[in-house]
Amino acid sequence: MKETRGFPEALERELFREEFPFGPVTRRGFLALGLLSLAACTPVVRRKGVPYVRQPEWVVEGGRAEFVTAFPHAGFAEPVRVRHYQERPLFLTPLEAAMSPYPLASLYALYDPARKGKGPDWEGFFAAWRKALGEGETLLVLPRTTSPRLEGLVREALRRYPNLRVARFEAWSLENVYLGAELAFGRGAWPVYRPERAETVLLLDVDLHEHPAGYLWGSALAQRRLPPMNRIYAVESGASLLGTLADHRLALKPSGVEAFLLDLARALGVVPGSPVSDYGGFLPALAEDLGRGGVVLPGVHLSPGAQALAMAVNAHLRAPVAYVPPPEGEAATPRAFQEAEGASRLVWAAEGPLPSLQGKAFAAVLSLYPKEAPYSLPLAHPLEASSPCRDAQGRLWPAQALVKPLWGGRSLEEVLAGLLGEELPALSPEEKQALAEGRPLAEAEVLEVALRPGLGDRLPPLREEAPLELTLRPDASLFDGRYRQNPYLQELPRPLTRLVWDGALLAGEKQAEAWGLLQGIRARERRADPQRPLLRVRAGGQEVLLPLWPLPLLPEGSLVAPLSHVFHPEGVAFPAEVTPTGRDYPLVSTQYHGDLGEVEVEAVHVMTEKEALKEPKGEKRLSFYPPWPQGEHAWAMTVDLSRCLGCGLCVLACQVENNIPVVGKEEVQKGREMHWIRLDRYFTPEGALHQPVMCQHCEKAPCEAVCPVAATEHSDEGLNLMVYNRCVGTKYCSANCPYKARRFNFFPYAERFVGQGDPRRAKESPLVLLMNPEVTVRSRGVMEKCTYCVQRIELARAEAAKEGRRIRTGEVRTACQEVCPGKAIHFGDLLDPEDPIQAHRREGRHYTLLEEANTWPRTTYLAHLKNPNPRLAKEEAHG
Amino acid sequence: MAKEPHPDRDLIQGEWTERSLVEKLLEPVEKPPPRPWKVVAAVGLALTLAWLYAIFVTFVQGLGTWGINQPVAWGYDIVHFVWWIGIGHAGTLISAILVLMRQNWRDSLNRVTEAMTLFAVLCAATYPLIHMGRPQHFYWVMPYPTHMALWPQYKSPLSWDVLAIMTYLTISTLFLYLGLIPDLALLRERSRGWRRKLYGWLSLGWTGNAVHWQRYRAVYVLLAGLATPVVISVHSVVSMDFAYGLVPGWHLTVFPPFFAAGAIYSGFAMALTLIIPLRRWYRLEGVITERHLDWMAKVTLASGLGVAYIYLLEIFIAWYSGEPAEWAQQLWRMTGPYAPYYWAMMLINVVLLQTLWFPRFRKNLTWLFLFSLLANVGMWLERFVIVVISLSHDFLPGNFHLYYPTWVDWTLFLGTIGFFLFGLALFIRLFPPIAVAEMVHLFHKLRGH
Repeated sequence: MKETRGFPEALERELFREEFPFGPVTRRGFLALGLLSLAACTPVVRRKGVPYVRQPEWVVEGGRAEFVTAFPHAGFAEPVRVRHYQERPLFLTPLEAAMSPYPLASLYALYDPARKGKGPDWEGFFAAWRKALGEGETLLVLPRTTSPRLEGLVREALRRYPNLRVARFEAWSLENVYLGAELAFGRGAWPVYRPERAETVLLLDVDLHEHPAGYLWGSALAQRRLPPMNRIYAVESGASLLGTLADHRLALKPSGVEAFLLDLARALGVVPGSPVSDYGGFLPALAEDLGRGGVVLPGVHLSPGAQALAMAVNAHLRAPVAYVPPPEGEAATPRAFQEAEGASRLVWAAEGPLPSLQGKAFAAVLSLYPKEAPYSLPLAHPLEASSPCRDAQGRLWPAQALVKPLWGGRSLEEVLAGLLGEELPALSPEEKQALAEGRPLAEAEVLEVALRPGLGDRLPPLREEAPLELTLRPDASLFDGRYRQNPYLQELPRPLTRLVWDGALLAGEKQAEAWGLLQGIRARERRADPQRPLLRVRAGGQEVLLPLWPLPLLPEGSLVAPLSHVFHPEGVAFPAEVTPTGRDYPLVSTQYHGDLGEVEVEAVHVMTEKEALKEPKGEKRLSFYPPWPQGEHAWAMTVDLSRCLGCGLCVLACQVENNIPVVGKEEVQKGREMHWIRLDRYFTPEGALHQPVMCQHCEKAPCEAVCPVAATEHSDEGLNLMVYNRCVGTKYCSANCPYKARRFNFFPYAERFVGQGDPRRAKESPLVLLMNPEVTVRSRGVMEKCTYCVQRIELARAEAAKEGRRIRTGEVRTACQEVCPGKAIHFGDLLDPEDPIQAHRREGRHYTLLEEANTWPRTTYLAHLKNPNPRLAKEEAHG
Repeated sequence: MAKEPHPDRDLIQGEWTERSLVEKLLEPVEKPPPRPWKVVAAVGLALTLAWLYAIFVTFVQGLGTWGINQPVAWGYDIVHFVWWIGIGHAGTLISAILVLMRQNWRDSLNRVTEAMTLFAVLCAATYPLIHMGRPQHFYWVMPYPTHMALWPQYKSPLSWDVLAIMTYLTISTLFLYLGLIPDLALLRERSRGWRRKLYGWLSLGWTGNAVHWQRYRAVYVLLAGLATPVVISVHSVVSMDFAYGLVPGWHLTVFPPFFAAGAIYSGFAMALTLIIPLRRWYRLEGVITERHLDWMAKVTLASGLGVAYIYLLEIFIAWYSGEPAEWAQQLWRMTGPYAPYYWAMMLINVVLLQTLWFPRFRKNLTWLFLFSLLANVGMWLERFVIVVISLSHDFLPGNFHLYYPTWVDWTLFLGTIGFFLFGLALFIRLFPPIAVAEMVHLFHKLRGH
């Protein structure tokens, strides 16, 4: 150390300053003392926690893992990939082409503290059950099950307990399909369609969520909505999402749909006779088109006769359909409900409505959520159970539990094994192998079936016409009511109506006018008054009150009510009588239904195949501001509206991935839903159109320019970033966004959601585990919006950096993209020459939403394609 | 020496001596208040307390207690912010521009309108603060050195707003205070007890000697020169919050003069609303004559005509631009669910305004008072049309949503009115509502002394 003048003294002073802090205090010393004492005021939080002594298998600190399992929805397996984060299942993606929204939304139920009942006393329950079995006949009502192992256990139980009777309950039954196959082929069978192989598709009153294979069909059909396109006809009594894909749509009453099918069969010569009507040229055009390789996809609620006719037509057309044995051991029907009401000893293990348990000698309910019952026992969540089951194509999938049961629940197999006093076998090596490889355990056995001649004579009467025909159909979100406790699904806007949190009676506008209610509803819609007339609906000897929601697509005389709100043990189709009650009920929709004024809707471009071939028009780009510095990537997204089904899975996936809270009916009514993706719906002369609108990540973003505190900024990779920490909540960005893609936390929504209504309970709620740790949970008073799943981009960047490479083409997939059944959403890098997004952007269908706003969005759209039959004049096709 | 009688001689009517004039003008401060004062102060205080409660509710529960939503992210908060800022304009105009133009009639009006300006701007300034999602971080919109070297984002009109409003508040406060100094000294000499102390401190040692007066005049004119651009700039800057935006109905270059005209219009209307009863309650007819009111009505008419012209121009431009969203917005205003608001605005600000062309209406104090109230309503409606109706209907039908204010929104509005009235009532009790020194000066000028 260099000997500088005065240095040792200075050093000594510095090190052995005895005057401090009690000696003569300098100004600086005083300040230092003050600051030190302030610092001492800060409490030191000591966190408990020690590192693992023995590292548990599969636990990677801060890491992710993926597992395959089969998630049963209404008995049918949906093979999924489950994304795990430190032993917490956090996200699901379809293993194959598509899945329904239910597995993904069920993640809420997994962590839901409402599932916690009293500690289950399983042994006590089994003892009581065995005692009841000793005393007399005991009815066990199972839901639809497709598990061979469970069927084996049921047979064993029936053998061991002669007093045991088993019934299968399902409000939305597939029985008519099996009966139709018996009529057509002489044996029960389950059709497996390959709609992607057909040039012409006829949708007969069927929707995505109404058929076990609906989402797979949607996915298959969507892939054929690009050149070379298929042609889709829809004949329906309701308003289905699949039907909105159609090039030609015919709205008929439920009886009319079956009569139409009979006429089609006659026109094709499948049954003798000639058609009663040609449906304004629709029928001959369809019959001709079907001849070029067509398939008829019938809804499962059509009568057995209609099912048989559809099978006969498909056989006649040599349609791409295979038949497999019915996946259920015994068809589950709504009739089992009455049986259960009558039984004196009952174990109810089905989903949906609950029978009355009064006056029963023994009553037990096995359910996901605790119920009011003498014995209420928790069933395991599908992610807590490993029950193999069949999918809608008849293939058997293995399943594995991904968490230990959180609230002591057991799967149905475990319950039956418990009754028998047996142990369930662990996963077999074959199952493990299949799970690791992500393939089914066993393929379906294809039946050789042949149409028995003379169907025309054997045909049972089809559905009879009535002035008002009501069909009860599963709700797109709540299904038959089994998902009623799921707020994700409650707030997922229903297709076409965009209703949330409620079920309504859907009727055509003409029907509402005939009741004299349309004027009043229109006036209320205009002022955004949610009150709608409450109607008394009489059907099948039951009476139910339902609010009315008029929907333009429904024909006069056809009514649709959700099975989640109306259940009838005798079936799903009834003649109905409707009387107004004079009372009102608030129905909340996410879309304003009032008079829109003179709006020229150019948001969704609709084209024909030929029009799509033209060159895209060059973009005029002018701006005062200099271009942003360009980073390593230029992220962008395209949404192919031709492949968009409007199902809302993107909305849900985004919500689960990005910790988006559910806000409740009242807040939605005020226009404060938090979904980052808004699925716009338009009723146009071309039919109903859907358009997901999320943050468009504009290069010249109007929101960025107006934020006074620079809380929303542009990244050099083209992302429009939202800095939650910096946001003061002026809401100017939202006001200035032409897409209105921003969402504001008016209340502490996240805390409310996690605390199930009480923000103060948020920290102790197990729903905290549902929150994705890679995404900030936003506080009250800040703005938020689509981030292009920036956490996934960063994860991919980190992975790439670890391996010393660039991010691979298609490596970053957004949550919405991963689950989209139609593969309509593509996320990519504009600087990557191999990325398919280059081709998307060069297509003639490519366009920018609100191009006139000059915002240069990175999210762009591809026009919706229609493939109309030149023989059908436009006005007739959409009548 | 006989002189020509002063042309503005009738601006002070009645037989006055300097002493009696001063006594009269100090009456509101020195005599017990009349009954209406007590009513106004009591109502004002009650509403102020309700206002504080509504702010408390907003802070504790969140902005969700208001009616704002997606897409109407700005509702009553910004409507009332703009409304109050506009009202504040009459004070600056009278104090600054009219002093430069040597308008003698301003002398009996400037104090009360300046006080009105101060309280109106205070009311206005509360809205941007409480309408923030995280008001605890309000200071982030101000330029101050931070460890992260983060400055406000100066491309945003909101950061211009902050500067404009703070300038406005500073200048109008300074102006008010500067004008008050001679009067404060006068009050100091005439009062005892705590009032004497208060006035003593506030009057800054004013003795009324010639040097004081000479510097006072110089500063006054200088300040007037500085304040003049503010009259035009503040509301022009506020208008840019909208003109800068993309929203159909906002995105118009005509907004700065539109807002400036509207501000003067609404400011004068509010001044009339305050001065007509004040004049009656304190028997000030001698110093606030019908001619004063006539002048004010004329300024109201002139600025109102500017506003009305731009209403019509907006319709024309919406059609002429050929921009579908703009035209759809215009039709939505005229025929949509909010059409009654739009047509009420047109009725008041375009049709009823025309009555002020006629001296018969201008001289009819009942009508003038009634119209001034209506014009306040009309300008409130205008801000509602611009802020709420535009936002409720922009580009994509999927965005559209109506706005319904809640009780909190209403309480916040009525609360600011209460605070405004209570503040003015207190002001009048403590400081002379008419500038005594100016009036004495004018008195001598008019009498040719």
